Amino acid sequence: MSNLLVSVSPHIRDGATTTTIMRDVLIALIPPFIASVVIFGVRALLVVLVCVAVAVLAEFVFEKACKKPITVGDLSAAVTGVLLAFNLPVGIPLWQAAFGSIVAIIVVKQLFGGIGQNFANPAITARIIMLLAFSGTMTTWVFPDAVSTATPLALISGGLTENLPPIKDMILGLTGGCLGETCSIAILIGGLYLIARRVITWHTPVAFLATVVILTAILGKQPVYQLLSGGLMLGAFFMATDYATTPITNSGRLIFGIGCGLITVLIRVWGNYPEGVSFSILLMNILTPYIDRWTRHKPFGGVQA
Amino acid sequence: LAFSEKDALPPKETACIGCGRCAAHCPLRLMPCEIFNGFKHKDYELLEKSKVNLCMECGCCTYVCPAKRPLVQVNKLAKAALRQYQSEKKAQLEKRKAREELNKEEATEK
Repeated sequence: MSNLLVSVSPHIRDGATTTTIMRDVLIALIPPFIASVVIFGVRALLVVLVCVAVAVLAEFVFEKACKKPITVGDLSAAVTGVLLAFNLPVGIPLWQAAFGSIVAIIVVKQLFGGIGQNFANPAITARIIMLLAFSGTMTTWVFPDAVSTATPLALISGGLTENLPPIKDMILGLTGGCLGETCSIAILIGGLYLIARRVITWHTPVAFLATVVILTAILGKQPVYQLLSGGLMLGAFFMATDYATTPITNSGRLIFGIGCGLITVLIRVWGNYPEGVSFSILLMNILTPYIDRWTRHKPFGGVQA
Repeated sequence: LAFSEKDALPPKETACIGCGRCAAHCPLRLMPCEIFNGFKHKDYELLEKSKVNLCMECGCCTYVCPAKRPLVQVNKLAKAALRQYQSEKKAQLEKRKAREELNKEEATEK
């Protein structure tokens, strides 16, 4: 009788754990992954494998070195690795991909306290650091037939709208771009899976995409191409919905999505870079604590006179 | 209630990932994740602001938490801590008031 345990209710817990959530995200990333291997060839598989392996290894080594509990098993490092790989062009040298993974996991995530404590999205921040450090290889878009192509966004910002690929190619992803970002339909399938599994809510992606479409329509900047090109779909469904770096409440997530859309359009239309999704998400990540403070729930019966 | 060994042991607690499920499921629209931080850092003003004393301890937050954090248990402790803090504050306030009145009386007597 001595080993009876007395505890407070609830005695039964929901089946969802951090690991099952991350597993769902990985499942949702399978359609874009298959699309990237089909479109860009076996080297896409290699880049993803390197990024995931290095990310998981970096987390393991860092936690071992710091004598912290090993959290490799929650799959969050694997998710970061896949997302980072999806943000790289297929021709990226593998050592640069590995460097990006190390930056994402150690500098952006672990130095700030590990899972749940980082204020910026690791994959996005690592991508931006790589874009600044290796701008040559990070903006060389090689198509399977080894011909360099410009991305649709670069064409739009260069004013060469008559060279744009047909919309069918944009949906299927047969354009220049990063590994996981070109095939819009595959990303949409993954995103809808996440919403159906209630891993993410619709608020951030809908607010983000709608803001970009509406603003570019008003400005007359090819709203359909803006929606389907660059990292917008991947960012809206997989990056702007990262738990730790985005607001807690649904109203906060709406504000976050609108803010991301605004900054994306600002950079795409008036900025020097053709693409602004990663910068917009990073900037809104920084604003997240403030959004959280503004959108705190008001408890029932808690109003003071 | 008696459970099998697997169900009875409290699951391993992991770090909060900020998913917001606790806040989304609270029938009183409290924010257990915030209360948890307030209790951990002994931030009584945050506890007061997040109105932990309204918590009816239904346990929905603890049920849904994917990180398996003992949120409702912390709410209970936080309520007690907040009550103690508030009564101490009140006692201090009364003491100060009494002292001021005493000073005033002394001043008028002179």
